[in-house]
Parts: sequence; structure tokens; C-alpha cells
Amino acid sequence: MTLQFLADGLVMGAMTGLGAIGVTLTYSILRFANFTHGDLISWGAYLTLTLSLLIGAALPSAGAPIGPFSFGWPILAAGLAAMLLTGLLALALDFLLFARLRRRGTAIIMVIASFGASLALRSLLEFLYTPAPTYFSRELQIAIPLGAGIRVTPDQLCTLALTAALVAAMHLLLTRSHIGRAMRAVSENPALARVVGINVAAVIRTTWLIGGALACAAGVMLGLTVQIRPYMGFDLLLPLFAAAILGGIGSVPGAVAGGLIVGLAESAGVQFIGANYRAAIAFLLLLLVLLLKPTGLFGVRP
Amino acid sequence: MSGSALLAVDNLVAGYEPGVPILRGAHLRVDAGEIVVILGPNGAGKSTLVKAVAGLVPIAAGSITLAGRDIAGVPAHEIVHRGLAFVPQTENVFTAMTIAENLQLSGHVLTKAARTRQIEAMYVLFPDLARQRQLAAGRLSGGQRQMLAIARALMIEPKLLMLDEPSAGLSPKLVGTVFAKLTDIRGSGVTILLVEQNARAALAVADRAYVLAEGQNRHEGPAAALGSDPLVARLYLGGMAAARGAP
Repeated sequence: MTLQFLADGLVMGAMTGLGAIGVTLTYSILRFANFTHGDLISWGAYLTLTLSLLIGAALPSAGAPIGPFSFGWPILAAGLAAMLLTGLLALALDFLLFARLRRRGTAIIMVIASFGASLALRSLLEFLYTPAPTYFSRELQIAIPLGAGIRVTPDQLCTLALTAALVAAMHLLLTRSHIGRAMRAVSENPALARVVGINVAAVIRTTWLIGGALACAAGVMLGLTVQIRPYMGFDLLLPLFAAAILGGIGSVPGAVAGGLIVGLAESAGVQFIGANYRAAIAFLLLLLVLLLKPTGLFGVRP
Repeated sequence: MSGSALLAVDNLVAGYEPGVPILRGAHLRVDAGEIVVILGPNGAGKSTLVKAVAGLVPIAAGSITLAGRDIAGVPAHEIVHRGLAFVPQTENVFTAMTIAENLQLSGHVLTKAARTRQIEAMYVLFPDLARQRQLAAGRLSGGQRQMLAIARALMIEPKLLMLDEPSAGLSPKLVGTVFAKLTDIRGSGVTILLVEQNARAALAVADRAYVLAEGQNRHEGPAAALGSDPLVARLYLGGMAAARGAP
């Protein structure tokens, strides 16, 4: 038996957790399950790919990989810009679709609308980039042995470190800044938030920007460590929701813990049961949480 | 029009659903430095009146001016910046946040220095809160929670403090404590408008009172006179049964 599944599960779990932060924030602040979140992940990856190719074409000498990693500065710069663009894409979706429905619709109408928007976003990616998988870089990576039969690539380590940094930044934002406290306030009680002088519309815009940016970051990491496909985010949707609900809706640390648990459970499932059952693991976890502890690990609301 | 009033409500028609007004031409006037109480049977529209002033209920007609400026139709979160603080009847603190965070959040309209000073002022006014600053508000008792809700509202250094039934769900002893605090707060220069079911306790501290029924003004006058008027007491201050018996 090899313990490699622990490392793989941790990396997959970190990306799932990062994506689940956006799910848990939109779920708790906008009060609906946003199915487009998976597609924001895919869009983030493709936007980064496109921008990095543009940078590469403009500055051919900048494309060399940094140190042991498979990627160079163009991908880092493109990733940062794409985080902003994906946030703006989420804002545009809200402006065109969700804001109009929010004024008169109920949560279920929002969910169904997001399902339709998800389909459209995904098909648009297939149309623009073809369904064939692609990669940020074809550089080979030499995995570093960590002992006990575990090997990780430098890209995987980088993914873990970046996730930790982003999660810490999110935690500080939510607990130390006014906009973060305002987001928690709207999440708990939108009417009281207005009474204490919080501009709920501004909080909603911030939530979309942050959710989109984190989705993009997860997409770039997924693209670096696995591959880029139009369905990459949509296929991650079930693990994302499982992670968000497992951690407790509205809780950022919960979403990350949920992501790690889902990632580890999936890769353990692949190791001990078989790869065919990978998708069933997240579904099983989701069912168990909803049956046994609907508020999740850190949540207050079912 | 009432030129010098801090708050003037004229001919207000408002309700949650279009075409279904709960307030049907209500009037109200609060002068600076007063404690004014709104009384009336259940369903009279008392809560709707203060919520409409706070910007939480759509207004169909009428005017609301605060310190001479029209605030009818201004979004709730902007009315706060004009110096009007509101304490809802229930769910009036953020339970998942600590006491300190609740005060911080409400104080965001102030500068950082003013906010720090005002938070310390609140801990002096409510020593119970100062002892457990990092406690989640959800773990406070009913009375402490009401105190935090009032402190939270005072964080914006309001001109006018509005409270919707601050005595609801509190023991008689705590009701006394809350009303004593309100008298202290008025003493520090804050004007107070409150809705109350507990007419006796409210009239004891108020200067003037309005009696509302079916969305309209029925009586108004000095608190002492209204409290001792047997007709008013029988019709409006005895609760539901008395209200139903009214012609």
C-alpha cells in the first residue's frame, strides 16, 4: 500500500476548498445555490490561459519556467488579471440575470436560472476553445520524494501554499475589515444589516467579486495540476457543494476543512474502492452530512 | 408644517404590499430632547410607523422629515447616516458576532478615533457588556441582548433613537432597568421615540404619547394626562380585549 493518496487528496482538497469558499459565501449572502460557480472556475482557467498566451506572444523571452515550477511569470501575471476578470464576469452575471430575479423571484427561481447560465457559460467555452483538454505548460515536472512513498510535484506544493495564503487572507478580511464584517452581517440578517447602515447592494457586489476571483484561482491551480477542459469546473460542482455544506454554509474555515475532507475521501476511495466510484464519494458525504448534521461542522444555519 | 421638530411625520400612508396600507394617514412630531411613546392595540400599525421612518417599509404617500430634511424614500442604510438609529423588536443584534464586533460594525459611520471613543462610552454606560467583550452576542441573556441592541444603535451617535418594544420578553425588573437606561440616554442629549405595549412603564418615563389605532392617530397628549385618562386607558391601553370592545 502506498500513502500517495494522502498527498493527492490534500492537493485536490485544497482546490475544492478554495472553490467552496465562493459557494459558501454566495449561498449565505445571496441565499441561493449558485450552479455557475463551477463554470466560473473553468472560465478563470481559460481566461488565464488566453492572457498568458497573449503575454507570451508579446514578450517571448518572459515565458521561461520559474525555478522548479512548470510555469513562468506570464501565467502568474495572467492569473492575477484573470482573477479580476472572473470577478467582473460574476458581477456581470448578477447584473444581467440574478439581480433582476432577486427583486421578485424566490430562491428556487435563482437556482434554476443559475443552472441555465451554467449551461450557457460552459457551451460558450466549448464553442470558443473546443472540448479538447489543454495545458498551461508541457514542461515535465520531477516529483520530490517526501518519504513513506509519497511524491509531490513542485506545482502541487505551490498550490497548497497559495491556497493556505488565500484562505488566511479571506479569514483576515472577514474578521478584521469592515467589508468582511458587513458580509457576515448580511449573511446573518440582511434587514438588521440595513438598519446598522450597511449598503447591502455593495456587499453583494463584493461577494461576487471575491467569489469569482477565488473560483479563478482554483481553476488555475486545477489547470496546473490536472488539465484545462470546459467541463473542469462543472465536474467539480458536487464536491464543491459537498465541501460547503460539510463545513457549514457561511463558514470560510468550514469550506476549506470540508474541501480537504472531500478531497481526501475521494482519493482514499480511489485507492481502496476503485476509480469508478470517485464521483460517488462526494455524493455519499453530502448525503451523510445532510442526514446527520445539516448545519455542517462549523455552520449555524441548516 | 412643524419647523423646529426633530422628526415630523405627516399624513403617512405605508404598508408592505402595494395597495394594502397599514398606516392610513398617520401623524407624528418629536421635538429635540423629548421621550415620545407610541401606544395602541395590536395591529394598530405602531411598528410599521417606526419601521417606515427607518426606511424599512415602502411609503405610498405622506412626508417624513428628520431635522428639516426629507427622508421619505431614502434607503434605510443612508438614513442611518442622517443620525437616526433604530432598535428592532426582535433579532436586533448579530448573534454570530462578538459584542465588540457588533459595536465596531455599527460604528463604521464614525471616524476611527470617534468609533473607539464611542465604544468605550458604551462600555461605561453598559458595564455588563464591558465584562464580556469577546462573547458571541448569541450567548447573551434576553436583557443583556437588549442592552447590546441599544448600545449598538447608540454607536452612530444618533440625534434620534427609535426603539420597537424594548420591554418585549423581559422580566418586570429588567423592564425597569431598560427604561431607567432610556432616561439616562435622554439625559445625554439623545431624543427617543419608542413603541410600547407596556403602556404603564412607558408613560412613566415619556414626555408625550400618541395612541394609534387602525393605522391612524386616535389620541395624543402629555404622558401624564394620557395615562390618567380613563377613556383612553379602557379603549387602548388594556390590550386586545379592550380594543375589540371599542365601538
